[in-house]
Amino acid sequence: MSGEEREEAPIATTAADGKGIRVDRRVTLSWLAGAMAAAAAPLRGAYAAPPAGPAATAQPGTATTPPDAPPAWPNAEVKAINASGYGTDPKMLEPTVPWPRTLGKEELRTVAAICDTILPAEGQWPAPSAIGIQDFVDEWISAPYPDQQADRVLVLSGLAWLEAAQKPRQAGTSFADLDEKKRAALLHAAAAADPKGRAFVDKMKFLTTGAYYTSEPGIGELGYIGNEPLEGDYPGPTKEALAHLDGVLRGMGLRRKG
Amino acid sequence: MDADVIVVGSGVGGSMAAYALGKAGVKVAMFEAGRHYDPESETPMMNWDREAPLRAVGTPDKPFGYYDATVDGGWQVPGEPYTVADGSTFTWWRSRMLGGRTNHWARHVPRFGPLDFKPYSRDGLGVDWPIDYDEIKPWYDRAERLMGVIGENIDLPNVPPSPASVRQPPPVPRVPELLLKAACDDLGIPCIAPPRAVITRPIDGRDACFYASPCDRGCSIRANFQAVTVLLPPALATGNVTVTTDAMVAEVLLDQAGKANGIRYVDKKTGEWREARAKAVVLAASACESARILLNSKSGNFPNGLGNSSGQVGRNLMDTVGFGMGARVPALEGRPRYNEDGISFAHVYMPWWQDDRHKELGFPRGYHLEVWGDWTKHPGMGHGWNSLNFDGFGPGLREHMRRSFGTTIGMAGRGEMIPNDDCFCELDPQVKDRWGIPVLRFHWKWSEHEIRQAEHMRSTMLRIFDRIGAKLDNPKDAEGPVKISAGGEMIHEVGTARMGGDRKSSVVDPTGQAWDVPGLWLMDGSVLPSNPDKNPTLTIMALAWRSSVAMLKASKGARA
Repeated sequence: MSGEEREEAPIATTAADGKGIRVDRRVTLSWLAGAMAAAAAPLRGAYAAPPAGPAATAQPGTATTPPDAPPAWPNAEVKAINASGYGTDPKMLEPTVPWPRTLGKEELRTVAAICDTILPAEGQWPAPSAIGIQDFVDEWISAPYPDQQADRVLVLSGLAWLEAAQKPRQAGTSFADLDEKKRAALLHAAAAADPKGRAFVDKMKFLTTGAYYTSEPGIGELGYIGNEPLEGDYPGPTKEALAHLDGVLRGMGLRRKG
Repeated sequence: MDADVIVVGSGVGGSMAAYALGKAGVKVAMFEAGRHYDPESETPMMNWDREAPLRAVGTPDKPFGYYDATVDGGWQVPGEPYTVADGSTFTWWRSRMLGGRTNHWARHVPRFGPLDFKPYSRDGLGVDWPIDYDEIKPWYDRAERLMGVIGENIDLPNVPPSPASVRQPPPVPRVPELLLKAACDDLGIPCIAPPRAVITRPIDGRDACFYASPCDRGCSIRANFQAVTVLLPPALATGNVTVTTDAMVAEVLLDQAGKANGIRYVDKKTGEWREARAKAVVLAASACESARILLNSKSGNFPNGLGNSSGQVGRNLMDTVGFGMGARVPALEGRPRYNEDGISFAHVYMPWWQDDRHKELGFPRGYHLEVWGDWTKHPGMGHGWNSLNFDGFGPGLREHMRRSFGTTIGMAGRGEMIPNDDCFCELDPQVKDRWGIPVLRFHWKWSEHEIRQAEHMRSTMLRIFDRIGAKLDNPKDAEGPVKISAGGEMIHEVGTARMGGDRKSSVVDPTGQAWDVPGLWLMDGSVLPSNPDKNPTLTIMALAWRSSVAMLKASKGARA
């Protein structure tokens, strides 16, 4: 969107034009395998780094000596959003989103797969894609406001990176076709590949969880109680909540007055 | 136009004047630069964030969020620029709507205390007020009763009590607030229910709070204070008050004797310029907008702006010193849920408690601490930031999101600034707004007094956070130079036409009438000679009521 962004070479999502990312499939597999190994055990751990330096598993005989590393972080060529915002006096009782969403079908599939990898379904709580969180991500990055336009560059670059990292592995498949472990490994690799990759994954975590936990199932999952008129005085904490607090206070050497 | 009095601005000062004058039988013509606004039909009570674009987060169109009561307002108003001098940082919040800035505010309404009216006598800085606490106390009582205020009295010399007959019972504290109270009790810091313009008992046909829907959206049941729900309906019911909206006032007009007798304004809908006449004019357009009108009202007798023989119009501009930090309290993770909406604002705050220790503390004026958290409202997009405290993603993230909801505690320091020569507004010599009205240019610089005070705010917050094992959202906040809010950012601009005991050093007399111009009254934050840490709205209302009655006495009934 900005001049600064345009100066950087846009990267294609395929290597077909000769200017984009060229990643040897076997090399891709090697660092991906490393990333998966690092990520598999403690998915709760820090983002897994790709194998550093010439990997032991690097295949001999690659004539073009491609870098034994994940794809370079692209800066997707992003057209500025020209739509109007909702203005300074929008209808508050019946809100509408005035700008069109802009992601294509494949991109939405990828976004949905990212959201579901970040926050997998659990028990009665549905996967993000089942309640349309990918459409919210689309709404967000299609908004004409400066913060969201900056996020648009970040998110579209991340999508380009993921496809660039995945496509050479198997023609005709995309990130969304991978199983959860492989998707997680690629996201970890994206986060470790570049500070912007880290920012991309963090942004997707923020967007996925922020949107999910403002949705009806998410609010239910949090156990939130409220947003409904009460009669009489505000009742305050329940006995159970106070008992928990008193335990916390004891642990801190504090006590509740009265 | 057969009005007796023209009132410019419909915020707390202008609406208070319309109420007081209208009830006394005076014909009032009010002019407001923004559109008509009806909170009973327009407030998005209990809408979920998910129903709004971008989950209702703030944007340049709606800086405080989609559902914020402010319409046609913000840090920038299209077509109505202001400029900031090189080397200064200032930001100006405006609210172009009926009720002005009473639609979006924190409704924190402490009284100024006895010490606050005589600051120069205490430490030789700034100026004393020409009135003292005893003079304004009855007006505080009246204003609080009409406004509807909850709170808790405390035995501190500069935190005056409210009569039991006035103040309503506050809601009980919630779990994070009880934790803060226990920590403050241990540290010797007072922590009490704040004075808030929210009612817990019905008054004057207004319903009591039902503890749902954030106050910053406005309130369709009129349980919090907005000029449009509390002051204007009874004012209009007198039949003596008319309101003209979308009327941008550019200057005050004088009769041949030099008495204020009208205004010139532009009808923003048609672009037509018009005049209105009356026997007196009240400016209550906000501190800076009123200063702008005075500076733009130039004539042969007033080449530097109306009422400005003292040269003080636009000078002495003050805001509140703001510094805040957010944190998470791990000990609150996984706590049992209950309805924590409450009044949507914090149920506790920490008033300043060390008035007698300023010499050893190394800064002259006090501050108070306000409290916020993610537990006072239904979950918002902001809960998403908690995901970044979880390493990685996938299995386990859900549990983290469940456990971390309701663990945020933030504190916001709000301190007194001392007027200084570097902080003022003037007319920009070149820039005009879309109607050709010269705009304001702001100058701003915090002094060492404010910087040292903000450092102390930070150390107090860190003591409290440390006592409850809180982890700062941004650990860098605890180190290095303290980052005070930008000038104007606290939206407490005052002082630009200050009240004083003599015409050489002040713009209005102790009753609020301009020294230089009979019939011209100022009834907004511009008249405040100092800006204590206590949020100014209640004091503006009390002074406006007092000035309105003084005006009635001066005219022996303006109708006659």
